[in-house]
Amino acid sequence: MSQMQELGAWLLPIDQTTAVAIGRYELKYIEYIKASVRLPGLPSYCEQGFLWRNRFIPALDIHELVSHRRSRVVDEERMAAIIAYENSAGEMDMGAIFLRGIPRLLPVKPQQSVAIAELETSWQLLAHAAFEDQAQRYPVLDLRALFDRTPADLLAMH
Amino acid sequence: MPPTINDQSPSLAPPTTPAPERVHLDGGEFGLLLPAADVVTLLPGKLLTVAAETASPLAAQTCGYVEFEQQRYPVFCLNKALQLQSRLETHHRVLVLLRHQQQAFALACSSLNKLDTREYPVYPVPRSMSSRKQPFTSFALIGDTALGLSSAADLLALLQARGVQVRAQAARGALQGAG
Repeated sequence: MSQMQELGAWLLPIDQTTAVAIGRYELKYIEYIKASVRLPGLPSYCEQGFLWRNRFIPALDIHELVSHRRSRVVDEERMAAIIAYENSAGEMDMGAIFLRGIPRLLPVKPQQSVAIAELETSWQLLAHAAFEDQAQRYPVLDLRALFDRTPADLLAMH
Repeated sequence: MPPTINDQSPSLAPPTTPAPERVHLDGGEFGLLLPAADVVTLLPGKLLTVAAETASPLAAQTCGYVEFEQQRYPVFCLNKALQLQSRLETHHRVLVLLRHQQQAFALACSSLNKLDTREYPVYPVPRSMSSRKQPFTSFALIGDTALGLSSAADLLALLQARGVQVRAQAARGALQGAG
């Protein structure tokens, strides 16, 4: 089997109708977060994090970031995908993406890829690839761009 | 043979300074840990004098002023977004007079308490949660609450980032905002 045929992506539901994708090996764990911690002075999409295995994991609400609308879920137990990415210093770092449903692993073939320019504008700067499955286009999130930038830098380009 | 320098030598190690004693400033919607040495005094919120002038840019950024030992100090109030408010919230019952070198100002809060311990986990603020308008770059986790490790100098930098220039104390000690 060739490398090309082994492509796969996790689909992460971020609201009832929208899912985003990350690489197969970028998703490390799925956790229910009982107690999140908020830092002040931040947009609501990135103000939360949580302690996990003695590490502080910053969490992003991608739906809030893209829709500019605050999530209705407040202070309830939330599901999160814990992800790993390589930061700009070349080190592995971790972050989390809040979920609205169970992630699903999807096999993806190279011929399913589509140009980022074909995504909705709001996704184009957050994605480093895109693909189509059953007439639905999915952005593949650029995790470094999301987690290795300050909110001011991310919102300036968004 | 020339002497060799061992960079592991204890004599070349940076001097270790003990962690300063810190106090917990409860701002209502946010919390900070401040060096106890930065706190000049605590004053009741009812001593606040609301500035008569309300049209200036400074008036929109301060809640007024407070007098202490015949000096006037501007009073600032921050909300959860760490933006300056022109009025105290009802839970702001305490004015903390803070000093950094020659600059002093008061910050409104719900309470200021001495910490029982100097041992708490401290984490750097992750890049995706950092802002130049936060007066801290690391925070302590006490229970489920994050308390930013801050100081009077950090708060002065935040005021400056918000457009307030707190002047060094003159003979009469008045501090003014450039607006």
